[in-house]
Amino acid sequence: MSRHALALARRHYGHGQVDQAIDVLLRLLGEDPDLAEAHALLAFCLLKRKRLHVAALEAARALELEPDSVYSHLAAALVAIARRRLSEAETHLNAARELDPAAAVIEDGFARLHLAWGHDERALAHARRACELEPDDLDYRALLASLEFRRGDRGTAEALAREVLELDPEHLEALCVLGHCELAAGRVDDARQHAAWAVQLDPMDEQALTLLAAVKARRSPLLGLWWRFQSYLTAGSRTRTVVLLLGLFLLYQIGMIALSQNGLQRWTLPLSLLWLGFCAYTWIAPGLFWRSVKKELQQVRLRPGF
Amino acid sequence: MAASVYRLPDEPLPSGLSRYAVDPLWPMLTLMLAGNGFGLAWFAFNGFALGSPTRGRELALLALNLAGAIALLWLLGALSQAGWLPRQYMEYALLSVITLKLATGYALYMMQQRCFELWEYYGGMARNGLPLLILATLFARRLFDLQWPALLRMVLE
Repeated sequence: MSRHALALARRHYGHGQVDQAIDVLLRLLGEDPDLAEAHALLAFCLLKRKRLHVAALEAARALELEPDSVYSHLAAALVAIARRRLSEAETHLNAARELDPAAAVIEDGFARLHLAWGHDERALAHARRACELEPDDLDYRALLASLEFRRGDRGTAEALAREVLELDPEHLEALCVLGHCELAAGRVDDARQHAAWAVQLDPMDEQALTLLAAVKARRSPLLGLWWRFQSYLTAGSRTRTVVLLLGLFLLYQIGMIALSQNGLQRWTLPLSLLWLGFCAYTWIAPGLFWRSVKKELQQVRLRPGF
Repeated sequence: MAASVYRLPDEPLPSGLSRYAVDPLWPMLTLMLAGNGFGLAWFAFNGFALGSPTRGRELALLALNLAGAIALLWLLGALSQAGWLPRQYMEYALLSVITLKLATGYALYMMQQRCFELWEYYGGMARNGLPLLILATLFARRLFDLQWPALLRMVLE
């Protein structure tokens, strides 16, 4: 029973059906809470949903139950990367490598770690090694495509992404890389189709949403501006977001006090209006943005015979 | 007998008050428009209604907001009386109280937002908080027009 449920959860996760995978795993763990592999897979799922705190708890539980499992170390490493605890992630990846030196999945983990560190060349080398170790695995090829795009080799990135999509037309990462390549080449409509398709596969996937946002930014400068502002605000931790927002508010308040104390009252109204406009824009733009995304999703139909 | 389901520690706990739960955006807007006191009271209630697993930390933040505002106001008053804080800088210094209120308000909002998303995912139906926000905003102006001790008014406003 547990084997079947685990396979089902893995299949859901593989197809981007993360919520379904979580449901299956929660039921499975309700019956048998000591299944290390289920805890590790749950950590991967929660990571996808950005529930980092519980993802870390689940990875730790998996390691506690099976300290010599590559999969548990890998889950702990990927959670640590997401929490920007990069040295901790490296320790887990090294431990996993000691347990299984020829596992492609560990090379993939190292590639993601170096990507987080900003060592693009090293990330590329690890992604290539993962592809050599397991040439049939589409995930590694898609990661390689994404890294090739990142370093500016769009031709190779596009060719790799197309290879992956020929074998699996619903591969999310490959769809996103291809979309970015098309956008860079000025084929905005094709990019839009790929973006909308990726969002349909997983409406909460960060890469898919980033691509869709990039397409929208290209088409509508006003909404694009909001998206860039929003991306800047939310690029780091939540604390950073709050500090930035409070900082903006304080600057406005200080400006108002300084103007009135220095006899420049006539400038307080324009400053207030500017601030009000900014608030209204940041309030209304997300609604408009998501409405247009929904409209876009309704319009997308796959080409017959794709 | 229903099969037991593994529970994740960040999931909301069922509560009898859950039919009164709202999107934490409404308490946050209330804190900004109707004053600190109304906003905090609503945040506290909403935490119980949602069954928020971070309720303890939310209450600690609430206490930090109130105690911190009192301490800051007392400190600024003392500095001003001792002549260390010139009158023209008082307006700038008072921004620290607003910053504390807003920072704790944002922190409360973010804690509850995460729980609220999960609560909705598991089928929770949120109430519309707009009527209460309007009522609180209108009521707050009349309430704060009454005679209040200055310190209390500055903390709750």
